[in-house]
Amino acid sequence: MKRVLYKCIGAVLCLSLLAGCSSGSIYSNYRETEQLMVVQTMGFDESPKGFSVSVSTGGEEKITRMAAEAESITLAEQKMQDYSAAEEIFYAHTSYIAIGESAARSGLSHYMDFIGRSTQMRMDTPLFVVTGGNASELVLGSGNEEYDATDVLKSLERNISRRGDLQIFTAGEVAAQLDRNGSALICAVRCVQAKDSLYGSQEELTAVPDGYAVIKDRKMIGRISYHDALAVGIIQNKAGPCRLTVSSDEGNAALQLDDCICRLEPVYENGELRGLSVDVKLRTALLERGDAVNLDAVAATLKKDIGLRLENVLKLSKLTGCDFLQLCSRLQVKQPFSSGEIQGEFQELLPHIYYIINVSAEIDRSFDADREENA
Amino acid sequence: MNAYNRRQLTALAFVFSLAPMMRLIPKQSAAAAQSGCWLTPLAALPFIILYIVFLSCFLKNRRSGEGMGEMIKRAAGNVPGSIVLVLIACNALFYCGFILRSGADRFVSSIYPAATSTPFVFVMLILGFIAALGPKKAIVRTAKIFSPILAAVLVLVLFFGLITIDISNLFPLPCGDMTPIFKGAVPVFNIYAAVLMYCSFLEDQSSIESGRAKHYILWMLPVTLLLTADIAAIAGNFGAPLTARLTHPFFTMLRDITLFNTIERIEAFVVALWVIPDFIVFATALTVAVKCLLLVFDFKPPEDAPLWEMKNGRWLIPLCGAIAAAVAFTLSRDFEVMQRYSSFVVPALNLTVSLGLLPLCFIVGKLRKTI
Repeated sequence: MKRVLYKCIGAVLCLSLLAGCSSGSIYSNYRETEQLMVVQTMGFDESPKGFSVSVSTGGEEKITRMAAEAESITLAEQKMQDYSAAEEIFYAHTSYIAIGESAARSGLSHYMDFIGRSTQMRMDTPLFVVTGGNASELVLGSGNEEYDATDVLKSLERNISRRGDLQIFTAGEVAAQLDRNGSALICAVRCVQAKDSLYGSQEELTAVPDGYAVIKDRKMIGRISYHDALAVGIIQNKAGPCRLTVSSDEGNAALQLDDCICRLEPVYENGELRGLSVDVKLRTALLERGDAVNLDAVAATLKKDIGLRLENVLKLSKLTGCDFLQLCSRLQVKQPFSSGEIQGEFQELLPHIYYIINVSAEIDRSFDADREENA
Repeated sequence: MNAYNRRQLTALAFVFSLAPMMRLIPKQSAAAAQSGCWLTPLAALPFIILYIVFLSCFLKNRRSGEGMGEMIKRAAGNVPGSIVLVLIACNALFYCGFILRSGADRFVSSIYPAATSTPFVFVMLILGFIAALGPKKAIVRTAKIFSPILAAVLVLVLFFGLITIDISNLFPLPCGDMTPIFKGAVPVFNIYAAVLMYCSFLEDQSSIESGRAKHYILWMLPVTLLLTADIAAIAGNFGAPLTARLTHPFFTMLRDITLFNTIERIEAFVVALWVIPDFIVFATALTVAVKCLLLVFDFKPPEDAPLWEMKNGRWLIPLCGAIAAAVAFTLSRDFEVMQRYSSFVVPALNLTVSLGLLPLCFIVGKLRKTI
């Protein structure tokens, strides 16, 4: 009898703790879905007050865009929450983070620290730097009543992955690269008026890829143009399949870069690392060409063009003394049993290293319509 | 006395090890061994095997109803053995308090930033206390039931974690100087030595079978591989320096996992599931502490005593629970201090017991020819 009584008391105690999820429950973290404003894109800028945070919710029903300035990001979030009495701003599903160029140039530490510490945000959220403007322009100005910055960035992400000429790095990847050698790349986007595109007619903004923002010591120190950005993918063996157009005196030809292999070989002199041999092998297919364009000439122009892009990117790395291409990591994977100190040594050697760039290209497919050579 | 078998005990050891495996090992290994951190479990394996052999030698001549506690008393003698058992009980109670606090802190820092750790400490304290009041086989069988679920979740998480790694984060490996890797292997060894040591106290109710060392070594091999994969997944995703800086790198990695492009944000589920290892660690350590004190005072309460009965020394259970609670609430809330406890104080105490007191008792027992 006594045992039954104890069991009953235990059961009543358990039931009292399970009395629903809303107010009054011990489970304080519960939120009704309808009362959540789910943020999908966040923008960070610097402002006279300190920080400016802009958010956009995306979604299918109602798009909400908000921004606030404060001495800290947390305070700015609280300010936005004050203006959103009916709904709780929910950051756990943030899909994209944009940072304004001036904020990136001032320093990324605060933003990276905020993302890393947040219990809601994910480290695999893609990062963008808005070049030539503020992140708030992109977050608040993109789209209209039907779509917003989230849709713009989603479409951009899809296009970039389909084109294969650019890479989008996540907050975690950027943090890991910065921790490894103090330098990283972040995908850069530029805000443009949608009416500049073929069928845009409104005053709304959209985003186009703008190469990479080069980060050194957690500050943006330069930019790789969209044209040269392909070279980054080539060096990191992550380019393609992508399309490119080569121009020569005889006319233009469009090619599809099917595959590229980049081999890095260290060049030692007297036992010391003096240079790097960059051997690139491109395999392409012909998409279109003018009648007068010779295939050999196309291949030669392609080699020259890619060689120039590689040179520009490697030169920037050398001039800034910043291994944003993660060349050292590539060499370490090649020689896995090397000393752990090579990272620091490589940073010091980087400005003095010379590069031997070798590009070979073959055009091995021409899809359906094969033609006789004219030239 | 045959309440559970060796297979169930290794399940207990596995679940016991999951809490520190996720919370401490990746972080401490990355801090010590940098990009070679994923090799630290492999480096620790030979030493863990040696420790398994040592424990098996210690327990080789145990009689039915005897576990490590009884063997310590038999080896060292009544008074010295009791002193050793009191020291082990003190260490276990401190560990209980620490695990209550660190488990609660994990909840706060990974899911509920607005909460305080107090409710989590209380819930775990009540659960563990009830478990310690009951028979030991309940704890062991709980571990046996949950170990496949936890292993399946871990393997799933590691699979999705491993497919996104950047291989360059796992290199270079030091070739000449292996010191960093062996330095990183210390926490791995320390944790598994403690796990095996605590589980050996519960062997009093398992049957006497031959091939103890072989059984535990064979269990340790897949566990080492799992741990290697765990560290490789975390360090491969974040890089060693970031892994060392993150508070709970495993749970941060969990936040990033998306299953088949449909399910995401599974960390709350997994963190909640990790309550089970915390519960097992707390309940086991509390039971070991009580067991040691019962041996010191020569109490022999029946295993099937009702929960509320406090005769035959069972009053030690609420006393030990209260001490563990007092430790949990006395520990500083400062992150730096907690870090110091988890990276220095707790490992040092565990090493003192597993590599100091136990071998000492073993040597004394062999000299006295009592074991």
